Amino acid sequence: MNNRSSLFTRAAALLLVLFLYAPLIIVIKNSFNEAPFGLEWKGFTLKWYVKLWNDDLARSALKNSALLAIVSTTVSTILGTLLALGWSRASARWSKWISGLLYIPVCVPDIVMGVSLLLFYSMVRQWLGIFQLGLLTMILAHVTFQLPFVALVVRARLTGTDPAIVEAAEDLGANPWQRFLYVTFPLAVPGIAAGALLAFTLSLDDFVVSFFTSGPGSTTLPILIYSSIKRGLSPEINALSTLLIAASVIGTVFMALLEGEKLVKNSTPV
Amino acid sequence: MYSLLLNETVFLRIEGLRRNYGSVLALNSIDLTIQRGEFFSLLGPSGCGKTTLLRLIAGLDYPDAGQILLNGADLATQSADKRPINTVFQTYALFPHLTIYGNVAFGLRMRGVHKAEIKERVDRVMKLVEIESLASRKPNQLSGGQKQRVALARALVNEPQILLLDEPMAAIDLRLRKQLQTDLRALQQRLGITFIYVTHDQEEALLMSDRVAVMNAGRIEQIGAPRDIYERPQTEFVAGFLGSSNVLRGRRIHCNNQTFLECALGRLQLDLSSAGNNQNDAPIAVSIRAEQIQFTRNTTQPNSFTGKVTRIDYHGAITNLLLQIGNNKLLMSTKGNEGAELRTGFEVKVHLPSDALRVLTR
Amino acid sequence: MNTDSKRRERSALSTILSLLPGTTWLCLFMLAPLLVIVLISFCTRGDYGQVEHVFTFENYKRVAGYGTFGFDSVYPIILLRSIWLGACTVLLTAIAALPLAFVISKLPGKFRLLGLIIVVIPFWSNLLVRTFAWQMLLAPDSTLSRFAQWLHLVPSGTGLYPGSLAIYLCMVCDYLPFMILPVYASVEKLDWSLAEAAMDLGARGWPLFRHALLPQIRPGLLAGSALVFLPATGQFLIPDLLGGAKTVMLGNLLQQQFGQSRDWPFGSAIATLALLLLGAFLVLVRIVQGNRKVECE
Repeated sequence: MNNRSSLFTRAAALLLVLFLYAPLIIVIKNSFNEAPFGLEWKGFTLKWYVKLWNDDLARSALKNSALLAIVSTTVSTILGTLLALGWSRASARWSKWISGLLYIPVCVPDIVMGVSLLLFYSMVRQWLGIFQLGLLTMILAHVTFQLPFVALVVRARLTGTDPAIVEAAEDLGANPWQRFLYVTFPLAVPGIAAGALLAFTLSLDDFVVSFFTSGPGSTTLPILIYSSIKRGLSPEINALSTLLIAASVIGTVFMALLEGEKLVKNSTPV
Repeated sequence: MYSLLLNETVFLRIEGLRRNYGSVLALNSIDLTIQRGEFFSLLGPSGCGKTTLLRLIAGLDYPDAGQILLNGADLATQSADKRPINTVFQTYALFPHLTIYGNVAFGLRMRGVHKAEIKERVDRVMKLVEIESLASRKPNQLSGGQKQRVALARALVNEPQILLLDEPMAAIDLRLRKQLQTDLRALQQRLGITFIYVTHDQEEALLMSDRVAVMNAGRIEQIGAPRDIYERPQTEFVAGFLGSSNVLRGRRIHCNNQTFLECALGRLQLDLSSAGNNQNDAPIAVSIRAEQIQFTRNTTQPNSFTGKVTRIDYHGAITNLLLQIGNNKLLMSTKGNEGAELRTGFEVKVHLPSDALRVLTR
Repeated sequence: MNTDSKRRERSALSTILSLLPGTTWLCLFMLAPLLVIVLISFCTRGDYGQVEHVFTFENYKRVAGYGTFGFDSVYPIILLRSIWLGACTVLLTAIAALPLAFVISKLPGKFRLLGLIIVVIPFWSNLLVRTFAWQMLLAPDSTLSRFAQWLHLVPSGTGLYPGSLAIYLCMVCDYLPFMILPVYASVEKLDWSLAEAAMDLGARGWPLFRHALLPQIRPGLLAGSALVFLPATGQFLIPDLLGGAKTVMLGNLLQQQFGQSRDWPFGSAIATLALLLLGAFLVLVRIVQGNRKVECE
């Protein structure tokens, strides 16, 4: 009997999955709905997507979001990979400190992180005149919360490989640089790719930290959505949201294909 | 193909080698010489330091004291990537992201050997270990035996002066192991490369090696030819580790130009050649292999005793009998049908030949 | 040995060099801002919203309820309400995660990862989008609201949004994946023979679960609780978009201080308290985990 779950358990699970997907379904459905408001189906249309495409605000928000995500992902992937490489070789004592440092941004609620950066930028601005709120301050903030995730994913990959493999390379005459170039790095690539994808998705989806560190002219898609919801609904938001959902789903599926099992197995950090 | 650089027979010399991890002494003053072209085994239980010694020779770890001299030159100044020594790892440690060809070619590529030469040498060594057909596969598509061959080819292609093998049979199932052992020995004899082979399997070490060093707790207990260490164990550890032996403790008695062991069994006559020159009345230990104990009819003969069979373990080719003699237990092995009629509780008369009694140094 | 120490030195140097950029970055943009927050929380707000470097405990007194005009329970209540919301979310997600984790772990091998992906995908879509969707799902003319009206849970013509129920629904939906992943990790490793032994001894239902299965799942539940409680307590978007004036949480209070009210020192004091709360919670989790380990040995 233990090979099958009970009927009740399976029904509950199915209901929960429905519950998880209901919001997505409603948004996607409404993005194709002729009716601008309400849930009633009034016929299929793509006009909200057309309207969105012609909306200057949405276009500049998309540009900002893309720029922010690409730059911050690049920086955090490089820094995070380096950090993971050093971390995997550090002594047990140092390793403890490093993991402590990395878990701070993971544990601190994003709103506390957002306001602390807002304050920090304003302090530095008073003294040095730099850090005007805008895309740059957002990039710095995003790298900060992406970095630990990249480092954790890459390190999981590095520690998962047999240390004898790098020793074998040394034994076969590879100098330290060759060992890195021909063995350590190629073996870490799937982890680095998964980490980068995770970082990209985190950046694209972030609202709270962006909200506090953005300035005039650096509106991103989530900020645009937030202000639209606050102002009262504009039906294009459904279309925009649908596009964001599609982007996230594609990203997640890729990541799962790359490092899925490892991520699940390493998801109990505390 | 494998040029000889020097004609001296002592090839690798290890002197006073010591390695400790924190307070744990992994290797304790190891002295060892290995001849050119020798198949040399390091045999011992897990944790005895044999793998540590191998890693020190490879350069993957460094000693806290002592020297490793290859052809008279100290290796301490060379890191692993500079030493003319290659290793077959226990897990084989094949590069999962490279093809079999890429794996075998790796060492030559790192040394900047010309492409055409790499091709030629890789092809040759892959043919040698019969893996030509696997060239374009990835390591995770191979069986254990195939992986072992790849690891072997990957090391041999560099034409090392010494090949180190760290328990290469551990991941091979028992049926295949016998075949691979003889193959490996044949290969070594054909190439004439010095092999240093780490194993915890005594049978394997005895079968393949020219010489064996038995290690225990970071020390070398005994070095010698397989027959030597099996038949003439010098220490209690070696006697117990190889095959099954009985160790008898007592005092050395010398009278009438003969040497005896005075122990709980009674007085045992020792062979003069093996009796050593301990002082009279000194405490000594003597070992005798289970299979060297013989049945006898004549209890008046010296070194003969009457015992009771308390257990019979049938192993097919041999049968082990546990005998109770007075308060002492003695393990005896019989071959074939010898003693097939015995049952527990039977009384038997046994003889301990004095030339089978070995005085242990430790 | 000479080469040995040289080699170790070189390896230590390259380790430090690769660690340096990332750790420096985190110190600069994570630790320094948190330190600034703590420092500012002891400063005074100027008349125009600027920060004046005058040392005071005033901000903490205000959070505790002792403001300029005597005792006022509004801030302590907000604090407690946030903790309550976090705790409820933990409980609800735990209840929901268990059946899902069991069902997924019973799937044939290759479908398990697929099952997990299906559960996690909604989580990767934007939180804003999902919150916005719940606004629509719980609007007065939605099926759920009509059902609630029919049951007379709410007056006819009104929706379930805005209100507490909307917040809880959305919170569970959002934080379920955080709970499922660690719970699944321990469910997958479950030793079912213990359950079989318990059934042989006549245990059924709750006692069976409580004695044979729960102890094995506890580490996953504990890790999941930490992962859910921390962000749930600090959540500001969901109460902001789905709640009304009666559902102000820690996050909203913080946002107010750094937004409309522009009272940075008071906001900093709230943030510092939130950090302390978080630290205390993590210590608590550690202690509980530690005790379990001791019991097991």
